[in-house]
Amino acid sequence: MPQTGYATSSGKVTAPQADLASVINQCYQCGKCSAGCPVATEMDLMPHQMVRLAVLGDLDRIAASKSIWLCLTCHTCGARCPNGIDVPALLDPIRHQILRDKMDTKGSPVPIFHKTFMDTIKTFGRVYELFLIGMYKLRTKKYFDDMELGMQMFKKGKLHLLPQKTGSLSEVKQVFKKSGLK
Amino acid sequence: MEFTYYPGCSLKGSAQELDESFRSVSEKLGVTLKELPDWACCGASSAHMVDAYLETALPARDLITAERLGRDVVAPCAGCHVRMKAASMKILEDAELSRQFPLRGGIRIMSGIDMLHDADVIKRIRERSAKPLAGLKVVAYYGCLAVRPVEVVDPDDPENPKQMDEVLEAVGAEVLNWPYKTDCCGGSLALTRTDLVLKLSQKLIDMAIAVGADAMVTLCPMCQANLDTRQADISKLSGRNYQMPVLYLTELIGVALNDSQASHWFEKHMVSPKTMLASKGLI
Repeated sequence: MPQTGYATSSGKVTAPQADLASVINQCYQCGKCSAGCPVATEMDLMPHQMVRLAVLGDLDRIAASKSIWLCLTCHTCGARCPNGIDVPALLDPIRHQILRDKMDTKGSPVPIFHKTFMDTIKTFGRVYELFLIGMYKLRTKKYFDDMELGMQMFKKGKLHLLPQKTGSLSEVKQVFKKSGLK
Repeated sequence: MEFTYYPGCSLKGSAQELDESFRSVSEKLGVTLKELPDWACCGASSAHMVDAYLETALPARDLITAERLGRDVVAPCAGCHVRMKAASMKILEDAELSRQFPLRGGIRIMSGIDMLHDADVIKRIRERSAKPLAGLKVVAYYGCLAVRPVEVVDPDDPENPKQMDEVLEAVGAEVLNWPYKTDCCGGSLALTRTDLVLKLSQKLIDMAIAVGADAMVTLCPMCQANLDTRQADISKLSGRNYQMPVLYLTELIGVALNDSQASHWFEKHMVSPKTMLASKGLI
């Protein structure tokens, strides 16, 4: 296991790879990432706190936070960090592990959406909005959200009745077979 | 001038007016676009959240096709552009990925603004603008993915980009200074945390109103969808009537080039820009 300088907590979540660890260890807690984060006020752990926890090896707390599914991956933090630390680059591998190991996602609809999005691509090769939205609503039981907007978009021809598929769907399915997403 | 064109899923769905205006305007500017055959989704805002392999492998399939065709590829959607460029960089830097995905890095992966801001293209835009957009006050809204991640996009200036401003000036619009050029609209949480998206989008529209903009202009389909479709909800919550047109850059270039298709694109908007543009004598 790459050494980050401190012991991990329970070690459920794998420590960052050596090259990423050496970057996040440069953090001097100026807080610029959190100052610019559009959703910092909603977070239980702010970006600079997540970076510090990663340096200390407590990845489990990041994985158990609400913040990990609130991050917009807007990369404002990374663009402004004086030490070149991009918080989504730290969080993406943790998110992958949470999903791979089926850890508790605390009822957040965000991972459900992203998995449903990828199921849509696996099935059609391209986004098919009605399938994506329908499956997402079934899986989150949010049946009536955005009904009116959906109808208006349908009337304007922005939502297709039938899917537009990629011709060589078997190639796309092959890509999914090799992935860690089950 | 000829490019491979990667429309991506949004341009075939919620952002059809971007697809149509981008193609139409390109033709009028003497730029030939040839759609990438049998393309698949780039993985959008989701693949990188769920799996490292998918994040790279999905764009890789299309990049390999594009490279075989030999032309530089244009992806007007800011999201697709970032995903394709990030995957390409990852593959070229990593020996193991290079073995799996035979990519040489021989073609340029361009965003919509890369193409429209090209010295020859912007010159043609200026020369062929039959109907300059005099009196139209706009703010250029770049959003996140037009400038970030910085190491992927390599923008002219990540906090104060100017390329879209300069194209808008080329068609004669008055481009206003404003502080939210690259602030996030909440895009990736559009369906999951709509409450947050309404807050972030309202903040942007409020500022556009405060500086006196007639319209907001973008090239990102996620930004446009959020800002345009959520104004009814924002109006309901705030008790104020929001009617800020959110236009694609290529739609306004179309107006300036006297493109007869323009009124058809505007039919697709939730907040119609027609009344505003008519009041300026532009349509």
